[in-house]
Amino acid sequence: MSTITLSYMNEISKVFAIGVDVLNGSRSLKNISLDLKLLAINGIVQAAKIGTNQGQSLITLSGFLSELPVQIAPELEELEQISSQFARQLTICSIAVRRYLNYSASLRNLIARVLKKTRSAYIADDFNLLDPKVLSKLGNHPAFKNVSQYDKENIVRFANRNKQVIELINNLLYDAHTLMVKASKKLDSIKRNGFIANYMGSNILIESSYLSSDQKSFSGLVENIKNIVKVLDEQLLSISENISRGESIISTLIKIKTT
Amino acid sequence: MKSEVIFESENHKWIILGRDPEKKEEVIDTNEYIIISDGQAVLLDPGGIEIFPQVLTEITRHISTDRVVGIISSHQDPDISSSLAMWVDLCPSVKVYCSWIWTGFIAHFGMGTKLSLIGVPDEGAEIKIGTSNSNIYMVPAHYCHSSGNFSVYDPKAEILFSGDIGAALIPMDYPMFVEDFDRHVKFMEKFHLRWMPSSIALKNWVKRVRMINPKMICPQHGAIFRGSSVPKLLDWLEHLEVGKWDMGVEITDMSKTVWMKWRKR
Repeated sequence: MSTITLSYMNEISKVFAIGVDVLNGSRSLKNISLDLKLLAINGIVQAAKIGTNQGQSLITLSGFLSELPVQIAPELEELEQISSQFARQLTICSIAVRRYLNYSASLRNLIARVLKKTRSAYIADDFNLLDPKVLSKLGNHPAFKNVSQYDKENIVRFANRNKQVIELINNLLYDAHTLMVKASKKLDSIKRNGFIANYMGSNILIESSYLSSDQKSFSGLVENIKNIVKVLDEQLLSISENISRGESIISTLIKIKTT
Repeated sequence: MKSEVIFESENHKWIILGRDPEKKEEVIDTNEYIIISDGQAVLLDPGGIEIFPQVLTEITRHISTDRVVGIISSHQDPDISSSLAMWVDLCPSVKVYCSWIWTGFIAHFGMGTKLSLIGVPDEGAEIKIGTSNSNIYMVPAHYCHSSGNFSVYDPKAEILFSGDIGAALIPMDYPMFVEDFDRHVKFMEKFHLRWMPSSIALKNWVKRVRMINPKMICPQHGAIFRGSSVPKLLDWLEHLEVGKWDMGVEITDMSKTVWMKWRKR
C-alpha cells in the first residue's frame, strides 16, 4: 500500500471514530439534561420549604432552570438525529474505503507487474491512485505505451473501478461534511441554552448564600446543579471540538482527491 | 502469490493460485482455482477479502477479469466467501453459486453490494462454462465439513475440487503436489478430525468420488493429490473416524468449571 493511501485510510479511520464520539456525546447530552431537570425540580421543592422571600426567588430561579431541558429537548433530539445520520454516513464511507483499498492495491500490483515486464523507468508510486483525473487517463499514460493490449484493458478496467469507488467516497464525504456543519449549528444553539443554565446556576448559588445556617441544606443541591451545568458545558465543548476536527479532516480528504 | 497451470488441453485449462508470500501471518493459506474454457473463466473458492488484491492481480496474468462468468463457493467460510462483494462489483454479470442453505448468510458479506447468489439444491447442479461441451458439476459434499457443501467435478480435465476435504495445514515452501502420501497424512489428520463432523457423510462422499474416478483431487488448503495419491486419499478418508470429539468430554468439563466460577462472581 502506498504511503498516501495508507495515510488516507488512517484519516478516514480517525474521522469514523470522531463520528461515533459525536453520536455518543449527543446521546449523553440527553441524560445530562434530564439530570439537570431533576435537580431543578428538587430545587423548587427545597425552596418551597424555606417559605421566605428568599425561598420565593429560589423557586422562580429553579423553575426557570427546570424549563431549560424542556426547551432544548427538541434541539437535542435533532442533534442526535444528525449525529446518527453522520455516523451512519461515515460507516458506509469507511466500508467503501476498505473496498477502495483492495481495488487500489490490485491496480497498484498490476501496474508494478506491467512496468517491470516492460522494463519501464516509471514505478507504481508515480501514479496518484486517489485522484479520479489520474485514474480516468491512466490507460493513455506514456508509461503504458508498450504494454500489451490485454494488460492495458485490465489497467483501464481496474482504474475505472477505482475511480467509481473514489467518486462514491467523495460524495459520501461531502454529505458527511454537510451533516457536520448542520450538527455544528445545532450545537451552537444548544450552547446558548448551556450559558443560560450556567447563569441560572450562578444566580441560584448567589441567592442561596443569603440563606440562614439552618437552611444551608439547600447549598448541597446548588452545588450539584453547578456541577451538572459544568458537565453539560464540558460535553458541549468536547462535541464541538470533535466536530471541528472532523470537519477539518474531511475537508483535507476531499482536497486530497480533487487535487 | 504463486500460480501454476495444473491442467491444459485445447481451450481448457486449470490454474491453482496459492502459497502467497505477501499474505498476513494470521491469515490461513488457501488455494484458489480458475477453470478457463473457451476464453471464459470460473473461479472456485475465490478466497477471503484479505487476499483479494493478490488473487485478482494474479488472475490477470491468465485472463481478463471481464471473462469471469462464474464463481463457485464450496461452502460459506470467510476464507472462501468474504471477497465475493468485490468480485461482484468488478464483474457485475458474474453468477455466484453456493449451497441454497447459505445464500442468506453469505449475503452478509455484501458490504453495500447486493449479493444475488444462486442457491444450489442439495442434489447438486450442472454449470455451463465456455461455448463447447465443457460443463462442470457441483457434487454434494454436505457435512464435509459444512452442512451445505459442494465439491466440483470437471469431466473434461478429470479434476475434482474437494473444498476442505483432503485439506492440509502445510508449510509455505511445501510442494504444490503431494509427493509422499504417508508423510502428508500428518498435515491432514488433525484438520480432518476437528473439522469433519460426520464419518457417514465422509464415507458417502468417498463412494461418490470413486464412481467419478478423478485423476486429480484439489483441496482448498494444502497440496494437490494426483496419480497414486488419489486412491490413497480416498482409502484414508474412508477409514477415518471423525466427529467423535473424544477429547471434547474433558475440555467441555473444564469449561463447565470456568462457567461455574463465572457464575459465582
